[in-house]
Parts: sequence; structure tokens; C-alpha cells
Amino acid sequence: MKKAMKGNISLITGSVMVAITFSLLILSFIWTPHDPLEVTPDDSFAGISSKHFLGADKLGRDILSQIIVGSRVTLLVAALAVTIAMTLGVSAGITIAVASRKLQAPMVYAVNIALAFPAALLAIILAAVYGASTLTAVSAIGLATAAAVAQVTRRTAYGILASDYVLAAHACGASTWRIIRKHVMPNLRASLLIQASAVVSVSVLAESSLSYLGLGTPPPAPSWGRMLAGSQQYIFVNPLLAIWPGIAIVIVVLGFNLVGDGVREVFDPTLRRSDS
Amino acid sequence: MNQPLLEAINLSRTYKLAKGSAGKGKAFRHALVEMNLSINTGDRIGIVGESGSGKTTLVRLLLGLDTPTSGSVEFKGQTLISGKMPWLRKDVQIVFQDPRSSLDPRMKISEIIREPLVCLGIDEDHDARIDEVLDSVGLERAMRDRYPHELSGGQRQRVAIARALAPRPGVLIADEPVSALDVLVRDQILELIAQLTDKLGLTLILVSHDLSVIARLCNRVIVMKDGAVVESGNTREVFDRPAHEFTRALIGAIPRLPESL
Amino acid sequence: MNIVVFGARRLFLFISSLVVSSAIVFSMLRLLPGDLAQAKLGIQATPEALATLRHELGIDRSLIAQYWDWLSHALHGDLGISILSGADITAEIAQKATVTVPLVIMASVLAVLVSIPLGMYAALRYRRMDGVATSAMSQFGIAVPTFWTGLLISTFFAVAWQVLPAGGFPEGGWSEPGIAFKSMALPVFTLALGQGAVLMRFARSATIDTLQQDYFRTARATGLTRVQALRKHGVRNAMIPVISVLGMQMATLIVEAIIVENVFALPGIGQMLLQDVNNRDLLKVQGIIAVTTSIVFFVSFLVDLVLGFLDPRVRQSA
Ligand SMILES: Nc1ncnc2c1ncn2[C@@H]1O[C@H](COP(=O)(O)OP(=O)(O)OP(=O)(O)O)[C@@H](O)[C@H]1O
Ligand SMILES: [Mg+2]
Repeated sequence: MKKAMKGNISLITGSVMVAITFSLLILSFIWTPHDPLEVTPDDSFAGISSKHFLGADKLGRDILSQIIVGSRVTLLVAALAVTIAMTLGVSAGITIAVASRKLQAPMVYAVNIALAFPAALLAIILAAVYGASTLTAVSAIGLATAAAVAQVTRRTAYGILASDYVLAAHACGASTWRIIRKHVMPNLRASLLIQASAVVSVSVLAESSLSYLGLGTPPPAPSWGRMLAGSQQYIFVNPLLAIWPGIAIVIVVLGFNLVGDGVREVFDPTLRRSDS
Repeated sequence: MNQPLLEAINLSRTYKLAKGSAGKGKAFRHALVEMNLSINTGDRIGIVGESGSGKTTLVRLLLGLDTPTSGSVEFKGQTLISGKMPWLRKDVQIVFQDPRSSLDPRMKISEIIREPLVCLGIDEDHDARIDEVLDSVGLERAMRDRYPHELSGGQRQRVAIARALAPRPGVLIADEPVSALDVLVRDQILELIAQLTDKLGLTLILVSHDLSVIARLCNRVIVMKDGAVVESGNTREVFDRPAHEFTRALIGAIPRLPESL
Repeated sequence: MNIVVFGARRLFLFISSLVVSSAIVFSMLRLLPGDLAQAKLGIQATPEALATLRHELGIDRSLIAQYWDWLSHALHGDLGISILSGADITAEIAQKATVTVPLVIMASVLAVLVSIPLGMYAALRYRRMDGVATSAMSQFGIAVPTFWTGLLISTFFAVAWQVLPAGGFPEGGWSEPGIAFKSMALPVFTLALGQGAVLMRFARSATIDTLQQDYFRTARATGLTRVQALRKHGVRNAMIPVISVLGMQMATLIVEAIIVENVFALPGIGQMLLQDVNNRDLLKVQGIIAVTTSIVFFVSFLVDLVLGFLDPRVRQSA
């Protein structure tokens, strides 16, 4: 009871944060206080005012507008990366789980090697070859997190495949494909939801770090990581510049982490009750 | 001589144990050793034996859900291989021990019962058949749209029986079908199995720890110990004149022999 | 499984992982547009000049021959010569490692030392406000990007309050230990904060498990207080997952170190790597990646050995 309640608190707080993020995204297409790229030298380092709610940067560009529009890159990268990671990771994880023992070992080995390349490292390699871009960031983050997803999916799928209800399905003459579709996938759902939200968090963190290092989406499209990189030099002229984008990142990451935790806490007890 | 329906020939199954649990080298568990068994149409065979004696291992092999280390299983003279084997599954069905784990928690009752009908390509109206088997195991048709966790233990086991009977099998294997249930509903489920066996003329293979259960439902009994048959024969005879010390010990463990013996 | 067999298997796994992963990195960096010669001579280079340079660099041979060449040199500690600066890559990495390796080690130790007691505290008081606050703190710590923490820490500690310097690692390196240590303090702290937050969660859940174990109840029944009983049983139980997670996190930790070096302008491997990426110095990037992944695989090899020694169950699941 207590656990479920706590899960709900995580879920509610997390959902609110995720909702804020998506509102920013939607807002970015409808309205921003200013053109985020509009340079107004008179407003250089403006503080909080009715003209610039969150202040302005060195070139007098409006911070709030940049943050609103910056949500696009963040969420675009996260959405693409999560699609790549879940598609590849889940299919690889399930394939490994249903493969014969002899085939399993090399595949597990490959996943373990892939796990030694975290998103940012892979992005650095790709950036060295192709030059940094949104595409290199997305591919790197997607591929790197796919390995982690494959790992977790494989373990969870193992458990499902060893269950009595899968044995019963075999006794009913079900094919492997049917077992994957009708038994493994539905029972993986909660785990996949948790993983997807974790992948989004990791992607957002990785994307902002890459942008900070100058290996993410190139200018002029505003990005939170790059805004922070730009703020570093002028931190004493306008410290707020180094605060707002950071808060935005934390809200997204914390939001998705909390949603994942909430789902885990809420779903786990029922899963345990009906599985064992 | 006429052909047995289901036959185990020199059937052995050896499990390779996880390395390390027994110290050095590889460890093996001989769960089933050179087992021979033949089952004829209409038989009602009880299999008893202590925990770990290989009963479940035997059942899985008889269903082709596991591959023997050596030996073979034949159904109507055809050797079981691994794979889907619809010719076997249409005729031999199973009820597992624990209905909490043998029913997929993400499936509705109707989907659970539909599974063998779809997989085995049973050529009749599936929905009508589902209603029919629900009736015959004593569940309301309204249960179709429920999920397993919304049912009681006894009701879940009824669903498992309904699933097994849906494709109209001739052979029903039940691996300790009541040992995971409350004492109060055990009798009802056994009664149901007995009644369905009679009504449908099933060949029954019933695994149980409990000799009184076997005595009630079966006309033949097989006593297993350490993966081998130690005694077999007519239920009444085995009970009245147990030849093997182990059987005697098992019988001695029953609190009270059923009146009918 | 016998501990020797277990160790031998892991060693094989470690070495083969090195070979396979370096081959992957090698092919990623070679199969792609803009080869080394082009990168060096620019787009205007004549085809003849390119061909000559390609021959000089040995990149006109088959990929496998090139890889074999690279690998056999690498095994002798020779990662080649930077195409752009002409400097010896191994020597440069070794020199920069004197910054990065201490950074990672000190941060790991600090993270472990802080996360275990905090995690145990959060577990002991998980129904109270302060316990919840402690674990909320770790949630927050996980969600904050390292470069932002670093940025804020350097702003306050280095620039505003001037407690410690931001960066300023001395030219002479560790021959000036006082200055070197001081300049490492904030980066180590930054790196440990992020890692500690992750490790703390594992320490906390391991401790919650311990609290529910029979032997813990028995210890309590013999009259020990919760804290005493936990000191007796809990520390080791919290340590096993923390160490294994630290092993798994090694790759991430190194990436974070790269980021932290760039925030604090520490002249380590990370900062160098970034410059080389921007310069497209592929051979050097390859050398650096090979070294960092070797460290990752080596650490996970060591962690496996230690855990296999501590906990026989780990050996079985191998
Ligand atoms: N997958 C497996 N791997 C290793 N050993 C196994 C496996 N399955 C069963 N065994 C072992 O084989 C022996 C026979 O097991 P089996 O499940 O057939 O016994 P059982 O008679 O059904 O017992 P119970 O009455 O407890 O259900 C046991 O010693 C068991 O430990
Ligand atoms: Mg059994």
C-alpha cells in the first residue's frame, strides 16, 4: 500500500514535469515572446524584465524564447534515439532470449562489447569521422542505449520464457512467433515503459552534454547545452544565463526518471502477484 | 498385440546442473532412468512418488515439451520429435500444477482458452466452443472477459482444465492439479476431473503426491523413486498388497485410507 | 566453478573484447569518407599527392592488413604518430593520463565512501522525512548533467568564494603536488557527486534488502541495535552491488571525466580527445579510444574477479 502510494507520488510529479516539457515543445510552434535568434545589442545581458522574462544573453537574444525553442532539439533527439534504441534493443533482446544456447553466447558477448561504448563516447567517434551533427548525436545515443535495452529485455524475456504459461502455450501448439507476440510482448510492456523513460533521460543528458562540448546540433538552432556553454564565460555578468537552461534539462530528466520509477513501483507488485 | 496409445521406451533424462554447485567438474542429475511405460486407451494411470522423483520430468517428455537424453516417446506408434506436433497436441493436453503461473496474466480468460483452438487450427466456431467448455467446467460464461488475477485459485484451475479440454483431446495429463489449491477446493476440482474423465471417456494420467487422490480416480498406479518405476499395477492390488517397501511407506503416510478400498 | 577456471575465462573474455572492440573502432574510423590523407592535405590536394601520402601512411593496403599492423604495434605500446602534430601518440596519452587517471580514481573512491553511508542512512530511515529527502537528493543528483554541476561549482567555489581554483593544473604536473591536488579538488568533487548519486541508490536498495533478511533479524534479536546490526552485516551487503555498479559504470565515468576536464580546463585525455576530434586526427582518436576502452574492459575484468571471489553466486552465473 505504502509502496503504491509512493509510486503514485513519483508518477504524478514526474508526469507534471513531462507535461511541462511537452508544453514548451508545443508552445515553440505557436508562440515565443521574441524571435529566439533576434539580436538586440541594447538588451545585452538584460536581467529579468517585462520585456525579457528570463533575461537576455550577450547578443541580447531572449532567453525564454531560446529555452522554448531549445526544447525542440532536446526532444527531437530524445524521440529519435528512443525509437532507435527500443526498436533495435527490444528485437535484439528478444532474439537472444529465444535463440538456441549456442547462438546466445556470441550475441550476449556482442551486447557486452557494445555496452563499453556509452552514448557520448560513440558520439565522439562519429563526430571525429563525420563532423558533429544532430544525426551523429542521434545515431550514437540510439545505438549506445540500444545495447542497454537489449540487455534488460533479454533478462526479462528469459524470465517470461521460463514461465509456466509459456510452457502451457507450447503444449497448446503455439509457434515461437506467436509466443513472442502473444505472451512475451504483453508481459514485457511495463518493463519496456520503464526502459523507454530511462532511455529518454539518458538521451537528454547525453544530448545536452554533447551540445555543451560542441558535438551536438550545430548553431544557430538554440540548444540548452550550447546555451550553458555560452554562459560559462559571462557567468558574472549575468549568472541567470547559467541557471535557466540547466533547470530545463533537470526538469526533463527528472520528470522521465520519476515516471519510470512510478511505473515500476505501481506495476511491480501486481506483476509479482499475478506471475508467481 | 495391439498398439499402446502412449509409450515411453527406455526413456532417460539427465539434467546438466549449473557448474559449481557440486564443487569441481560437471554435475548431472539423472531425473529419469531407462523408464518404460505403456498407456492404453481408456487407462486411468496415477503416478506417485516423492518430491524430485522425476514425475514432472516424465510428464514433460510425454508431452514432447522436453527432449529425452536417450530413449523415446511414441504416440500411436509415431515418435515424438521437438516442435509443434499438432497431431500430438490435438489429442494430448495438460493441466499444470499451479494455475497462478500457468495462465498468462495479460490474457483474458477467453483468449487463454482460445489459444489451443487457434494454434491447432481446430475447425469449429471458437466462441461457441469456449462457451461450451466454460459450461462443462462449471464457470459462468461471463468470466470470458476477466483476467486470471480476478479469479480465485479454484476458478483459475477450472480455466486451465477448460483450456486443456477445448481441442477435444483423448488424453488428459494432470501434473499435481490440486496441490497448489486450498484444501477446500481440492475436492471440487478432483470431482470435476473425475466427472469429465467419465463423461468424455478420457485417458487420464494423473500425477500426485497424494495416494488417496490416486485411489479415488485411477485404476492403475505407478510408483516412482529416483527416476525409476519401483512398482506398478492395479490400484487396488498395489494398495492392498504393496510389494515394495517404499510403497508401503507411502501408504503408511496417508492419514486415513478411503473407505472404498 | 573453480576460481581459477573462472579467472581464466574472464581473462579470455577481457582480451578478446579488446581485440574485437578495437577492430570495430578501427573500421568505423577507416571505412568512412574523408580518409587520413584527405584530412591532412585538404580538399585542394592533387590526386598524385594524395596517392603518395596514402602510400606513405600505409592506407592504400587492405583494411585487415592495416588493422593487423596497427594492433601489433599497439600491443608493443606503439599507437603511431599524430598525423597533424607529428607527436608520438602513446607518449602524449601517457602524459595526459597523469591527470585523467588520478581524477577518475579519486572520484570513484570519494563516490564510494560517500554513497555507502548515505545510502544506508536513507535505507534505515526510508519512512522518515530525512530518509526520503536523502533519496530525493540522489534522484536529483542523477538528473543533473555533470557539466552543469561543474559549471555551478566552479562559479561558486572558484570564482565567487575563491576557496579552490577552477583548473590551473600546473605545467610541471605532479612535481608540484600541492598545486596539482588543489586544482584537482573541484573536478574530483564534481565527478564524485554524479557517480555518488547513482551508487547511493544501489547502496540504499541493498540495505533495504538486508534489513528484511533473517540473519539481520537474528542479529537484532540478540540485542544489537539496528545501527550495530547494520554495521555488522549491512556494509558488505551494500558494498557488493556498489562495486559491481561502479564496474559497469566505468565507461560512463570516463565519459563524464572527459566532460569535467573540459569544464575545468584540465589538461587530461578528455580535453585532448576533444581537440583531436575537432582536428579530425583520426589515428590519435583511435588510439585514445583504444586506451579508454581497454581501461573499461580491464576494470570490469577486475571487478568480476573481486566479486567472483566475494560471492560464489557470481561465479555460477558466468
Ligand atoms: N531444469 C532442471 N535442471 C536441473 N535439474 C532439474 C530440472 N528440472 C528438474 N530437475 C531435477 O530433476 C529431478 C526430478 O525433478 P521433477 O521435477 O521431475 O520431480 P517431481 O517428481 O515432479 O517433484 P515434485 O513432486 O516436487 O514436483 C529433481 O531432482 C530436480 O531437482
Ligand atoms: Mg513435479
